[in-house]
Amino acid sequence: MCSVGDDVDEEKAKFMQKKITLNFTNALCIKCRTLKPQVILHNQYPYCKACFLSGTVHKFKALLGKNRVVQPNESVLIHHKAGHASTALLHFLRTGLDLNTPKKIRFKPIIAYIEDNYELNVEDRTHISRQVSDEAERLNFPIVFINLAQYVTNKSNLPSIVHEKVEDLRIDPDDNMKIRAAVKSNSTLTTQTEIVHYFERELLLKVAKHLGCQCIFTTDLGIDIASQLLKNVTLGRGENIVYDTGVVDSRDMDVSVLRPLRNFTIKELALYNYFNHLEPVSFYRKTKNPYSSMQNLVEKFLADLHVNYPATISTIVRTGDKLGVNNEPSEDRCMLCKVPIRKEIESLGSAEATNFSHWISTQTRSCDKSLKERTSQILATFDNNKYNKYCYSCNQIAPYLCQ
Amino acid sequence: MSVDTLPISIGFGGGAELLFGNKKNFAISLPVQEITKWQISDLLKWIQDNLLKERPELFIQDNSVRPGILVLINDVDWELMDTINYVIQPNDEIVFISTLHGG
Repeated sequence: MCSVGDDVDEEKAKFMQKKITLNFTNALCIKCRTLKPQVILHNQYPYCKACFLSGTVHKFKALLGKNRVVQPNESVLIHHKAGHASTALLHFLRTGLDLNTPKKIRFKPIIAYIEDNYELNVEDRTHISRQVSDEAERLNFPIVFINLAQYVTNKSNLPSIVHEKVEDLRIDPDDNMKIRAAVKSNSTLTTQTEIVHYFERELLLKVAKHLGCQCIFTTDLGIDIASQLLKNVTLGRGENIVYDTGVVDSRDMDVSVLRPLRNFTIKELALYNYFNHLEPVSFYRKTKNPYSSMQNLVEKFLADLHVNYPATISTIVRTGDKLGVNNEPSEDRCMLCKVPIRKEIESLGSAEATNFSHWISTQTRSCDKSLKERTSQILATFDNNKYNKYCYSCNQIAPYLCQ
Repeated sequence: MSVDTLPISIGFGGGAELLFGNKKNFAISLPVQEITKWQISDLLKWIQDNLLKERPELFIQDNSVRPGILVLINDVDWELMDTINYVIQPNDEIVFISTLHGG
């Protein structure tokens, strides 16, 4: 009989620790051990304000220093998404650029703000864009504005939709319709979200190339990385996990994507902003129905779990970090998400099995032949290569793209 | 001289101010006739009845703040101060920062 999990002690160690309540009445900062703590991180580590702030900046710089993706004097595109994360990232960069020590940041950041708040009205969207523009001005960074809907309707003429001034950004009430027109109406919200996500990634890479940037910084936090990982698993995008959630995404030959905030929690950055008197651009997004798409459901699942089990996010992120791509480097790339596609597989994987199963259940049976003949005919006509333009998951969404 | 009010200041940030008519700072006096020892949980009820303009579910959940809202009492994380059980002192500065992170 199976005895795994019978042992009570093992059982405890197997599961994540539930949120614990500790008494911090006489606690001292865990780092300097002299001052009274003002912040508690990960529910158990108390820090004083000075140690918290220096630790936060150090964590950011350590990730940059460790990966060395950016060379001095290169331009870096910063994807501004409003909120605490974007503001903190810009402040990290500004303080790094203003240093006079050898630790000074030596690359040139350019902010890109992709306007896609289609659930809000034109007035609010304009107001948010202006706030982003003001923030860039305050911190003295160059910025470009792009409306995602304009890109989707006019992909060929990028320079005409990249604006340096917020006044030139055109915001239309029917932008939402334009985006929807690019996806067939019989698609699910899950598919639509995937396609819009793909448009956004494609646009960001094109803008980076247009502006001569070799690298893109995103504002993805630990929770975003963890939810992206679970989304990829649920949507059959196992091969994307390494690219979508790793520190560096080098799918594109010319531009790499770095996620410098992936080890941060929103609490750290919100408090960083508060102590530095920074006001992030904020607005309330429409509450999403968690059951309307796979992505929303994953987000709800994680957010709920995170409240009572604070280790959730880091457990998922660290587990994801252990994953790697085992394939031979392949020249063939998925036309949508650009992950390498496996070639010439000896044994069929689950994707091929699913393709075969789908194909065979949509074939008409030729009743005048014997079972043996039918089998050999089926095996001879099944063409696995026709699925080779896209990866498994993109094969599912590609039919819904209107070209 | 008997003290009949408890003066404190409340601040909202990170988007929480949007629920309070876009006003960030409030100087308020809590009445001490009925409640003599004001705890944060009492303050939350008071805020809900007197200040909260819209969508209370984005601020209050059960008898605490909604997960994702950070609370600082005199610049100290409320988790170091016994959260909702902290007894408010005169001239305390209590700040609520929303971290509801979209996208």
